[in-house]
Amino acid sequence: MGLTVEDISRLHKLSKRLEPIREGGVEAVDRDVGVIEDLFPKGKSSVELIHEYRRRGLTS
Amino acid sequence: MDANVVLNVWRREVDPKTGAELWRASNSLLKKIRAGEYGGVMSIVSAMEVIQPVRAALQERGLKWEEKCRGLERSLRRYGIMFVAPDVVAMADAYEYFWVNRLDPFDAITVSVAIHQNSAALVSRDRDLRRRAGKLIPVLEPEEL
Repeated sequence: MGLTVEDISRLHKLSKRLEPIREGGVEAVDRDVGVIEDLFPKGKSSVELIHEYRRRGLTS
Repeated sequence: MDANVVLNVWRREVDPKTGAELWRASNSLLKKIRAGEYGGVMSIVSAMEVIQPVRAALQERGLKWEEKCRGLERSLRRYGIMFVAPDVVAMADAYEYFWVNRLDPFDAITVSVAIHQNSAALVSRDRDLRRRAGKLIPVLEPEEL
């Protein structure tokens, strides 16, 4: 079982979308601290949030 | 790496019960990956799980989500994480973990990708995942690294 040219084209598209961006240093991480701080209730953990959206995705 | 580690940072997350600043160790981990001290691997399924709550929350409020989510995708790309599309064998193993270890489908893929990438550990704050997958691969919280 091999890859078709269309498969390779799709993989190429994915690789371009998630290709690492090299410029900048560790400050790139610091700049993102709190970037969505007010979007979700503070009392809900990220683990809970992700589980909630998994359930919604599976049932909606 | 599990999706919740990135969300810790983006939400500047604090444990509401203990006041612990969960984002700090997650931030430190991402910076070590960016600096090349650690190799960070994430499945594209987990990458989607990082973005999905943001997209859904913005959609629910009737706000434009695409530009914001594209920007967050670019942020992920700046952290030096290697993104992995699970192959057929990784998916077959995930299916096994789903049954044998009673992992949910998403966690089964996360664990399978980590194992297939020969990761030393899976970093996650999900304690249920840790309990179920701990026999397959060490599951550590960011503070434990």
